[in-house]
Amino acid sequence: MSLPKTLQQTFSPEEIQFIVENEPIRIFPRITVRSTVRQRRQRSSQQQMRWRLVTAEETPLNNMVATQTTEVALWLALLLKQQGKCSIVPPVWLTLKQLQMYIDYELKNPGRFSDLPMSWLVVAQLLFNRAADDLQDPVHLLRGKIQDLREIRQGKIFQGLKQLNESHLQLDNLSILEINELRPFVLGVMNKLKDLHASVADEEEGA
Amino acid sequence: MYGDLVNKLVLEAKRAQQLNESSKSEHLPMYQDDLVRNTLREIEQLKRDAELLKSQQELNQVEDKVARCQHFVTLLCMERNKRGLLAYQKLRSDTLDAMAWNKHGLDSVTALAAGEGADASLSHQEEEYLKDYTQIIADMKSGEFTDIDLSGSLTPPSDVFIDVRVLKDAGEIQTEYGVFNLIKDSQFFARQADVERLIQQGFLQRL
Repeated sequence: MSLPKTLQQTFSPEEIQFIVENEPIRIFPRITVRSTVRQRRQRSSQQQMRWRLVTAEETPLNNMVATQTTEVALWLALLLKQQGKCSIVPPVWLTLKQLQMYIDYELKNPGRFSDLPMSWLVVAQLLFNRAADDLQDPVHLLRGKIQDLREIRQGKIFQGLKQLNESHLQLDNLSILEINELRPFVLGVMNKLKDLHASVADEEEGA
Repeated sequence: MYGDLVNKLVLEAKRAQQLNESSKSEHLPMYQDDLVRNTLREIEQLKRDAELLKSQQELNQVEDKVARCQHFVTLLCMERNKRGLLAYQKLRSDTLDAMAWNKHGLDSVTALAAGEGADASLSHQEEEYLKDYTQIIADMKSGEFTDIDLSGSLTPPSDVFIDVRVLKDAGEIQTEYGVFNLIKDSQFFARQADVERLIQQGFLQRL
């Protein structure tokens, strides 16, 4: 088929990253793009380079002022960061204190997941790799916390897999990446269970 | 026994499928001409049996349950053989489709012979099918969606510029945006969109 088998049922991690890169994030620009009134008057004579985007809002980009925070899509933030033209404001949940609170919550409530943002794993990964100097706390400590959270949640997921049944499954606050890696397994098992259940129900009806 | 031949055929198809999955690339083993032919012969034999039984039944004009059962079993055997043959052929045609999507019609629509290393392993009908299918894909690409490279890379783009290394000598290759002189083991910093096709053809390796 036009789509390879590996991609027919689920997303690849790259695609997950691509989805997440569309989320907004705050940045500190290091360049000023906003034109002053005088420049605007002169514009008729000399055309200035402006951002023209199809898939994202362009006004915040055309109004960037150095050291004034603004909100842009993550992919643009990373692109600017790569060239040293901005620094990224880390999301509020990506601090040692906040992460520790999440970990405490996870440990206190074995039955549920803490309400981390849907994309926490991917965003953390991206920021650690490409904007490590912008984070407020040392990266190795943050990495450790993220790893802790991931392991705790993974343990809970494995516990939760015992509950697989033919009708439904509730997974509040599970992140996009965690769901993605579960999907092939859970869907396969649940479909099989459903088939088995349906055949039993048929028999009961017939009898 | 009834259906043994087709069983072999199905096992063969299964092996080919596993080979494709483990090597993550399309590879088509020999077309099992003998097996297919013998299965067809078996089906013909069964058909003759079935017709004979039917005519006998009409001749006797009596309700003979045994004869009817014989007729029924013969039909089932034919059905099973047909199913096996169809499964075998479908798996092979799926592989051919994947080949057509992956290899053909990149950059310049290369001749089939260049793309197909194993022309001999296709049956005549399959060759025809592949040729026609490639034509259909080409038609679709030249039709409504000329701007979109439908058979291009399926991984979402992450960087605009990438480093590539040349794996095998190719001489000068004209890209849409200028000339690259591809010498083995040289390295380029190029726009991803330009080199995507060369990577797919195996001339370049992404770094």
